Amino acid sequence: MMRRILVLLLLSGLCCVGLASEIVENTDYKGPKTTIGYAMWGGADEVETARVIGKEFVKLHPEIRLDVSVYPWGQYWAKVQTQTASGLAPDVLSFYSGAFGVWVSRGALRPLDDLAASSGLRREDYHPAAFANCTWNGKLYSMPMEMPMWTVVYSKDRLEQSGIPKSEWPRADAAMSWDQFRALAKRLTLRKPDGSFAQYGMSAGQNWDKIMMSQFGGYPTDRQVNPTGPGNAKQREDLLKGWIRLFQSQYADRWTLGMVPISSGAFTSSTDTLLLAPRFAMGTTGPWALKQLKEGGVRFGTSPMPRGPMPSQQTNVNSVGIYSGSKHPKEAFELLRFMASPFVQNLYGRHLKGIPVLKSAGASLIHNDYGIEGLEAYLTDLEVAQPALCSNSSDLQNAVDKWRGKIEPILDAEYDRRLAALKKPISKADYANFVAGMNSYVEQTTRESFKELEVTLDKIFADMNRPAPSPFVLYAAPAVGLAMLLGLLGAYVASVARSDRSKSNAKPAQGRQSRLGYLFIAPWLFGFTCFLVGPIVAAVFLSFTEWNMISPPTWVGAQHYLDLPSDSKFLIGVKTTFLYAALVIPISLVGGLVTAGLLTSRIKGSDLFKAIIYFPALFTGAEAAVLWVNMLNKDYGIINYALSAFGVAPINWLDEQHAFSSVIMMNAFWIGGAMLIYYAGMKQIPGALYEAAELDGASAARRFLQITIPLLSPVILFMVVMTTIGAFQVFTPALFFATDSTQVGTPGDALRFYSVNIYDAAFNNLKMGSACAYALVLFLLIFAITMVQMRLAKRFVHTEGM
Amino acid sequence: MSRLRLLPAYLALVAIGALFLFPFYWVVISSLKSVDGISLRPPSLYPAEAKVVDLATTAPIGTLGDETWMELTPSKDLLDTNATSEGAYWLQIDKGAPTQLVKWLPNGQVKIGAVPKPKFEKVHVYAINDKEYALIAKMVRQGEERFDEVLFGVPLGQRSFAAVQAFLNPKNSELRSFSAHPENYANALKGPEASIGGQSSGFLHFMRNSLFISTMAVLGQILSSSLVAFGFSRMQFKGREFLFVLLIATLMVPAQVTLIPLFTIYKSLGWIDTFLPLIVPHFTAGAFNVFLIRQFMLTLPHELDESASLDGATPFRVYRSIIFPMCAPVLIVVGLFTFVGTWQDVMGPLIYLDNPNYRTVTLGLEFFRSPYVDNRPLLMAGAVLSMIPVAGLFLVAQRHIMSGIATTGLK
Repeated sequence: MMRRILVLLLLSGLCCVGLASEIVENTDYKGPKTTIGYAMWGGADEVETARVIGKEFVKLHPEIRLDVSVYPWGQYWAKVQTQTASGLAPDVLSFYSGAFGVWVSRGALRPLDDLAASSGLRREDYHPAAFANCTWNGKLYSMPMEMPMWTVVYSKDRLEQSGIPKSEWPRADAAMSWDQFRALAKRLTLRKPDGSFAQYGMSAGQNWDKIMMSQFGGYPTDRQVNPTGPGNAKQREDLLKGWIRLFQSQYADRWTLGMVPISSGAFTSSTDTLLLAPRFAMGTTGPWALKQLKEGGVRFGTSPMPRGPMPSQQTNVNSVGIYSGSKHPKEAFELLRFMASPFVQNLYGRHLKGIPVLKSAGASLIHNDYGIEGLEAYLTDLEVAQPALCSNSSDLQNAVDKWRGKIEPILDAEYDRRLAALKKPISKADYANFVAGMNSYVEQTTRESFKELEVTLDKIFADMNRPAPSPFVLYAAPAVGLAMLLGLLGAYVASVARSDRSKSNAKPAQGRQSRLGYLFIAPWLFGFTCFLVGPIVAAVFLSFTEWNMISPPTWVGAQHYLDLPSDSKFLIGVKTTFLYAALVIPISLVGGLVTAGLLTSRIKGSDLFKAIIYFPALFTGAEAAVLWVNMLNKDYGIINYALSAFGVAPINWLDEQHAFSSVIMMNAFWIGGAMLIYYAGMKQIPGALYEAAELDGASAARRFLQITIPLLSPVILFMVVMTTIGAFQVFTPALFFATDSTQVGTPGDALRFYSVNIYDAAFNNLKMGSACAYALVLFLLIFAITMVQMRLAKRFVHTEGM
Repeated sequence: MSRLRLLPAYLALVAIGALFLFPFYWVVISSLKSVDGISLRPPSLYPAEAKVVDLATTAPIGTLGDETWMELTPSKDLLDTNATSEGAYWLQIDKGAPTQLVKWLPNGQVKIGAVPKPKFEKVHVYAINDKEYALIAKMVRQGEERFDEVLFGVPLGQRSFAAVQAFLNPKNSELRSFSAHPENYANALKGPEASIGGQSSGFLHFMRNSLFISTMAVLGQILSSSLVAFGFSRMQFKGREFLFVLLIATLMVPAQVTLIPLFTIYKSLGWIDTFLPLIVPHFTAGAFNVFLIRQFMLTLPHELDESASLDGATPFRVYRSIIFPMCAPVLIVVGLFTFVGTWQDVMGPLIYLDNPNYRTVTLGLEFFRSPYVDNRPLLMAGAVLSMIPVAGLFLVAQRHIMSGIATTGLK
């Protein structure tokens, strides 16, 4: 009934329980030990490697005990977020280039320069790119471990079959030019007369796009290098050209280059191991995938990335840093040093985990444990490798990804459409026309759409480089806002107090009684002050600050509030929530009234029916998620099966288009609470009224509308108000449909309820200030709507006998 | 006559009742299915599994486990003689999970390229019709980020996607047999990590945690809310009406407003990773519960406590010996709502608890839901297990709850 259960938030991914958590220690050493926590992401392989490394480490440092936790990728980041926020993070945390800047700028990592200086670390022993991605604003924050890097990998079988003479094969020790590479890919691309592929010359793997982009136009998210973004017109034109080139290679001359777009549905994952399929001639991959290729019986060779006009390789860096709240930084640094030591570096190389960062360990890659030959290409590429992007904001990358996600399907669809329209078998001339047409289509569409991306990026860069807020925003606006708010609340409180004084005809309280009275309500007064008013005041304060829960809050005044009108997420949140409320309130009202009405007719077993109808309302949390997601599945879900009896084609209830309707559908099952309340209310209406009406010949429907509804109106008002309050706070269903809590609100923005924004800001982006501002605006919204409802109700609600 | 007139009402109620109970029937049935059975298309209304038509003819060559290429030799008569040309085929299941490769060899064998250490569970041969058969192998493999369960198939006789899809499509439901797996419950009880070979404190342990938190919360709410309600309904003090309106007004404050400051407060109290943040606030009375109990108390005749007062009973005594016991119906309602609310709460435990030993049922369930476990029957069994206490409590207290709500006199 009451949406008391509404706080029932179910956050899937945050529940990140480690894949493995284990203590590694030297049992021979009996002296006192310091425990160091070490968290990393990975799977069973990583657990195994961590065990080997841990054992060797405690042999060297018996006074240290390691507590290693390994989490799946997505859950690792969620865990780092909650743990750093609650001060419970392990001493040593793992990062990759993309996340490093974000976490350093949040203050999660401890600067290491002092420890590094006293330990005699020689940076010249390491690859220069490695330390570039461990340094922020000139300070060292983490120690590099290994570098994930992708190079070209080709299948010897395919090259042989296509009759490429050995002398023209790609070499591991020398890079091709782009022209050579394209020519080779073209020769390796075989296609059938109908346009479908018999063999793909080249499949662009992970990171391919970034390398291409950096070769032709740089990348818009390189915050360290380019702090104001792709500023001048030339840089932007270069960037746009880079994109056009990338898209043309995927969507226009796909045949000539034989390149499979990375985004194309069938190949979204496992691109690393595509060569396992006999229809692929070349791809890109890192050393970690080679073991699988070998086991899969693929004879392969590697070659450096083709060289373009600009630096031609990018390397990511996986590193380990020390949590800023660590109590044992010295011991933790021992572990960091160890990760960069020859033992671990050679181990990484031998196991083909990634490229060792220690120069002297490079040879271990060549002499790996699996006897795989020809890996010199990685070392050749390493010579020209530039450090990968390192940004302090994930917004940029997200914006670019979102834009790509939007434009690529359009290009893909157009490619398919035009291809299908060609006359088969396709003549050479037709094909040339097709490519030319696609080329200009891609260019035009990309140019058009790039303007959208520019607007988004400009906004993000503007936000990043925003000048300090004006004194008006900083002090005057909050003061005025607060004054207005307090005035409004004061007026409300005063009006309540006045009307109560006039209504109350109770005897004036005597001293002792009065004190006793306060004693009785003391539990509530205590909770009200400590768990409600206090936090609200704190939330109001926080909403005027920027706070990530790690470093202290900084005052930004009314900035968060002033940002709201131009915040698209906020607007979507408001829209979705209003729509949700507008649908759920009538469902609960009508559903509750109708079922209650049915039950009040002289029916046998009404208790049983009541219990049955109420039953689903007991489960609106985690269990409901399990229940419904199973039933809503497109392929094996029972709902589609039932609909198929009526000839309805299978619907994907969990996708962007339908998720919202699914949530509304679920709500129809939760009317039991409303039903009970209405039923109780109806039972209190004197039966004599109905009998009189029946004698007058009023129909059942008429009696319901003219007696039940008016007499029930106070109860209806109460329920509508309560349902409204609940509906505006809706959150749980958004989690039913999200793969994990970092994705809450998805698919698309279908379930971006208002409170999703609050959660997202607070726990996914650690923007506590704006989360508080969002929450307070929600409070005001609910307050205002409730007031309006009460006002309106005065006219319609039947108050006799209240 | 009047019975007949009620017929539409009966029919409507039976229909609604059946509809509302169906999800629960469905979760119980699903919890008894096998991993195969739960993915059958169309879904089966009883615990069923696809019938293995001919398993004996598909003896795998090579050892399971470390071999990357499995060679399967289906018996000659199952093979179409045309299946000679080599080629690679992909089959995408569900969300486009990693594609698997099936390779035809010129000698009519089927080669399955599997990426690291696959574990073949079963190799099935199914009859699509009299002439066509499909070879379906299922393996569980441990990928980089998750455990994938990959089902792939080769239609024997018609090497095309269409045939595989036809096979997966609702047509051959007659090839099913009843097969219930009550052991899902035993496995679910062992805990989520146990199902992937790890250590888990077990579902019963989670239940104990949840039960402790929920019971304490119920206790806290019943004691504190009834005390406060007594104050508001029976005691006279200055500002009583005003404070009561304030209490009702707090219902409008969304939980999200206090979420972040509360977290900070608990953090500074050192309450993170303890049950305290989940229990203590319940001892400070919930606004809605106070409202419900107060409404009920207002309907109780004043004569009783007045005469007790005249006999010299203190207000607290009146509360304890007279009013509190009489409030039983509404207290049951409050207790149930509190129990259901705390039992299902995920946000609280998720934010405040870190230690796997403190995990509550909902957190345990969430782990079953994670892609790591990816065993839906186990997830369903876990859901059923976690529903049992709430459902049981509801059934036991059902009569009292219905009458309790009726007597709260919500007006």
